[in-house]
Amino acid sequence: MQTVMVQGRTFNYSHTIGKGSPGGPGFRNPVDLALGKDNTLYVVSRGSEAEPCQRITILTMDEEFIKEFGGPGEEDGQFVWATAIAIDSQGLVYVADEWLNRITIYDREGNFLDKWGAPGSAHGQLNGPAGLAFDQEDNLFVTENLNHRVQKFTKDGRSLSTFGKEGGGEGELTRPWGIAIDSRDDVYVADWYNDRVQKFSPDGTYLTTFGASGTGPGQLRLPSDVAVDADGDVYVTNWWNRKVEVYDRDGAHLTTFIGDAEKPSKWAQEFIDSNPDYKKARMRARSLEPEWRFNMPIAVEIGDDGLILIAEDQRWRIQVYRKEQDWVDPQFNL
Amino acid sequence: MVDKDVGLMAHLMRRAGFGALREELESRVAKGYEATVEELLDPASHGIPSFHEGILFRHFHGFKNPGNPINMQASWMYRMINTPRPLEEKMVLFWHQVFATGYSKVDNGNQMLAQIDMFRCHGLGSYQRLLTELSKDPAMIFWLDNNENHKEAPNENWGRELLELFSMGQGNYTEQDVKECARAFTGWTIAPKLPRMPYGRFPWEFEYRPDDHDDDEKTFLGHKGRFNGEDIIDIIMRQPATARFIARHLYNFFVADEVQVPSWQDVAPRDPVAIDLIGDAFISSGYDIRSTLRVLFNSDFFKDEDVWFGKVKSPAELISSTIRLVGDYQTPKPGITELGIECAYQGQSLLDPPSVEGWHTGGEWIDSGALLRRINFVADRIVDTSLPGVKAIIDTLAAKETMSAEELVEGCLELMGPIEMEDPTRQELVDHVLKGGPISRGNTEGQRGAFAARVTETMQLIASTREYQFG
Repeated sequence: MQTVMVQGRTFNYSHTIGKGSPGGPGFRNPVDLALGKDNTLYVVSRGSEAEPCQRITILTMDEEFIKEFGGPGEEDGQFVWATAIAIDSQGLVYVADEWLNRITIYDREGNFLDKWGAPGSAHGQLNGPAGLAFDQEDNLFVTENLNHRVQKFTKDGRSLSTFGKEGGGEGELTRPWGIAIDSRDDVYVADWYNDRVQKFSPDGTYLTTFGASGTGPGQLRLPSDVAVDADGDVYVTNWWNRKVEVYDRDGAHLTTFIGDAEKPSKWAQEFIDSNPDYKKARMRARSLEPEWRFNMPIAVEIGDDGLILIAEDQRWRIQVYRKEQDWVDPQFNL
Repeated sequence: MVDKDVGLMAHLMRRAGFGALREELESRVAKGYEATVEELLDPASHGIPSFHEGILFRHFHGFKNPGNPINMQASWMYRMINTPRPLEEKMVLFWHQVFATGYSKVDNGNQMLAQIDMFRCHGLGSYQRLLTELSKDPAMIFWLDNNENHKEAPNENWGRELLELFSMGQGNYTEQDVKECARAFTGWTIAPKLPRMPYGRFPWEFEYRPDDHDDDEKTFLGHKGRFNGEDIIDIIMRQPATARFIARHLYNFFVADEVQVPSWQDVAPRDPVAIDLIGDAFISSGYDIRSTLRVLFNSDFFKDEDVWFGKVKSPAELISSTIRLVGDYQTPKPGITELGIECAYQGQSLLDPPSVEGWHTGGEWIDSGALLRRINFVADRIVDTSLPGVKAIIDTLAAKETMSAEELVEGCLELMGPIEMEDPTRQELVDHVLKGGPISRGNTEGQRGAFAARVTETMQLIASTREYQFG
């Protein structure tokens, strides 16, 4: 794709960040990401059961590794199954653990500050917290995979309200995952098992649906995350279909990203350059194109200057696109 | 005394699946034996959904791209425990045993699981199709060196095992047939692919290279022609030895333990009539495994009570059926890797068999170390009253305020199987329970705890019996 123009919008592939690594520079099964001050990136690696390398990596957009924090375990600051990350207006970092049913709070350098959350299905309790997003008032919205609902908390963990219940009807949710909140505080939920994204008003009233079950353009299978840009365009990681769908604010499908990582990331290129056998294997491969494409894109985040960041569960990297603001289309007969 | 219909259904579900709880057994008895066989054989057309991979990979992200063999073993164990299509998964285990391919050489968990997926897709269909897919399976090609089988320099490894272990068995072909078979599969190789780092595995793909294929005339099992791989498989299918070989494998896996495969050339089947019946079904159905199994499961020799509890459970069967019984790992949870590791400790490192010959089965699953390990594994879980399956058994037995030792033993046997136990063993269990004094469910928390302990202790003892360790 590289550049696509659709209905007055221009999307460009920008670059790729990251590589596979059980520690240090790189990620292993990234499940979510968040942007801090000055586009500092926080990436949650889930790791695998046999290779417990859960951690949060802090890095810059041009792949300067800053540090990593957290790790496998149940102690304060650790996590068993980290699923989601969000940053509040003060730059504090909130991480959800869907096994321990708790939210852990760190400062921007990753130092443990606090934790809250208790397991259960009652008001204020959690069962499988899977997605996090702050509204304009710094309230934290949490999707619950196994309670099939969205719960609104104060930052210190006091439950304010809930909405959604298990089902496939309008306003109902089944195993919800990612969540986003737009500038009007409307809430978008990746309704994972129902193959759709639903939009709710700030008080939880159902508004509209994005996508439907299927593999065609704009159709979804097990969508994992959602993001909304400043213009109201909606981006959905179409996890099982290995694509990212873009819709306008009314739900009309605009375009599909399939992955464009034609150039390895800086960290990846360093690895290739320092491993001649891998370099040769790449030269021998029939095609490099499989490497460009998404493999289970899992999380999407909007950054400054029209940046769209897409983390890939099974390719251990982030592909960065940009929504151009002042693109002038060249003459076709150049 | 075991209800015969429930007992037969339990036998079917142990052999054609990984066991079933009492409630499911009764529901299946109501549905009927033949109807259950049909549902097991063709779950899709009976509306049985396939296993939901999305839920697996949402929680175990590393299972999709399992760089570590422990991930891939756990991934498969989780499926055995939770599949809604037990025979489909049992056939995957069957074909993995027959077409034993090992991670130790392949060193590619993704491709090992792709082979397993292929068994899931074709394991109940045409054997001819399955062998063709196997010949093109990248993990198998690498495992048996067919990527080193060139027109000018044939490698006989794949050709030999195709005849010896995958279709006909020793004594039914010549060394020249092996050479000609290998020549026919020259050029069947794997396309070069992107390396595993820095972005994870990319799939291997089969590639046919006509320039590396020996297209000259060959003579194979008395047939002459410019044979390619598919022609060889077609000739293999038409050999009576192939039908006998597959029949004996199916009998050994589903009906009763046979001697190990290398001895089949010298030792007659324990039930030649059954082998003929299965072999005839295989041939008359056009090598269709589903049709062949239909005959097997509905046969008198399969239903015969003499073969109930007569087969040693493989470690994978013992572990997955026990986990189903106690109701653990019904949903994803941390710690799942323990199951694959345990299976390896008991002698069956899934996806990494000791050789292309697979595991030696039957009595060879058990030695003094393995037996202790098997008993302890079950005993450790059956005593955990926090597990829903254990709790359900205790609650069911607690329906009666008091019970005799005989009733307690009988109740445990019913709910753990039902298990048909020989009288001396049953009496040993009763005598042991009697030593604990009168049995009452009690009213206080302490009394209920004591009752639960009597139940779980009895179940632990049952877990150590031949009848539980056999299936």
